[in-house]
Amino acid sequence: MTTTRIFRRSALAALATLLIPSLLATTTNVQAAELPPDIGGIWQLTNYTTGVRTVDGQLPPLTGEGKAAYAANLAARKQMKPREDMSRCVPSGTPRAMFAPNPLMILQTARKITLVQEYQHQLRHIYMDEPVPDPDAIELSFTGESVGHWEGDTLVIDTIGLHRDTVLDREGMPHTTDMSIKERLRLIEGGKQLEVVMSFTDPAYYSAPWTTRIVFDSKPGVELTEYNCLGRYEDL
Amino acid sequence: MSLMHYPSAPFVRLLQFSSIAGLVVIPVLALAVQEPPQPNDPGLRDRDVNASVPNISGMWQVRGYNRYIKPEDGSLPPWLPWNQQAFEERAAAEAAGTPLYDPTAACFPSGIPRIIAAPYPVEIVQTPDEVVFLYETQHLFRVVHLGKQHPAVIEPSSMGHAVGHWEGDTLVVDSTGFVDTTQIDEQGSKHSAQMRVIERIRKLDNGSLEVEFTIDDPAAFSKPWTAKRVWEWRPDVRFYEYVCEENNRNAPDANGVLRNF
Repeated sequence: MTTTRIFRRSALAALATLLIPSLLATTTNVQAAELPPDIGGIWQLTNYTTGVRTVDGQLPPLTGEGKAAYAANLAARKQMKPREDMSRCVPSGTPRAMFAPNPLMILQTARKITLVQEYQHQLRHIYMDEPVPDPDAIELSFTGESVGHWEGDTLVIDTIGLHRDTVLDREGMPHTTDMSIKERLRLIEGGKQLEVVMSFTDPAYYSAPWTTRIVFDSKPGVELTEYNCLGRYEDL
Repeated sequence: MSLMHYPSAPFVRLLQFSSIAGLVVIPVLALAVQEPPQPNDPGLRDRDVNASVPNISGMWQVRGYNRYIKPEDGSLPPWLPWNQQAFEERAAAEAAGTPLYDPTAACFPSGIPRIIAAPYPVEIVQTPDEVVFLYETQHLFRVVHLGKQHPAVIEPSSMGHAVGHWEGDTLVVDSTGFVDTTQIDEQGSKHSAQMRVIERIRKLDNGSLEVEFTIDDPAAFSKPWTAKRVWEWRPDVRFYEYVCEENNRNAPDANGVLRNF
């Protein structure tokens, strides 16, 4: 993907500007016009934070129950006794993996989009143009079940089925297994950045749906390395 | 086969190799809503891949399951004496019911070439510049960089650094930069950090992919040797989440005993 990919994009754009008037009537061009944007490639988070906040910079609207769960996670972290699941190399899961500062590779195909995270080598499989599965018919998982579709220039991903043991961020923002996430991904800054707007719905822990926004930089040429969480134990 | 360290998703995968596979696995797969893709479906790979490049994108799974990786001619791996000794000690320990440590039991990555023979699905996604392997096993992945050279200095890893190119209908993958802590296979042959693995991957027909791999490791084997696996096209299969660190066990039987295969 990388440099050639970027070059291909800009070259195509230049070519399109030159040729579109003469090619408008051709089938090829009609197909090209219908294609969604190309978000494939290597990306890296620009705004890393250990504590997720709303787009207005506020603490998410926790309910009483949600506040209690959050306070317990914060306290455990202060005592250097984070929840067991936060320290034994199980996947950070969705959405927390999206907040990792390590590079992210997006593989885009018509049928499926795969998010390949260097961090803990986590894979998110997003099946395109399928309905959100019946929550009773799926097994809960760290990654959740995700389906996607394009709305114009925006990739919309719906995720449900998240395991009780994951949290939203490093500080332990909690969720229940009923949480649903809607992510809206689109290229900004002429394709140099990828914006991800995430909305969380989880009535037991949050009094209203809330939204956060993260931005990734395009990192052509960067290769993902092998992330070895377990190996770190040897350093202790 | 003794596979007690594998979690529950693998339990289901192993059933696929047994006669009752259909009974157990098919209800779970009813999640699939789209029509299953056909081989050569352009929708399975990045749209910018040139149409002339062979299409190996999609879901594959090894045909049969043999945990022992041996030369194609049926001979034993040409171990150096230290490696043969280690292998035989390991076999003896397992036969005595006291198996030795296997790094995957502690959730370390299977590594190359072991994962080529693993009985779990592998999805291949082709982009213009890469062929990416996504594994159900331990949610590992591997990026084969097309038309690139290995860097002068490689940080050693379990999966190695992989570069590749097409020779006609065959994808040739050259991997090096390995740690010496993974095993060649589940049976237990070892290798050194000098190991280089060359894979030649090609479609036998639309339903199968041949992965022929040559192991070149002068510190562990007396000569390079070549083994082979065939992967089958599995449009009916979707990934389960495989989380080794969750410390799942194979389902216990009615007497509470963990199952062996």
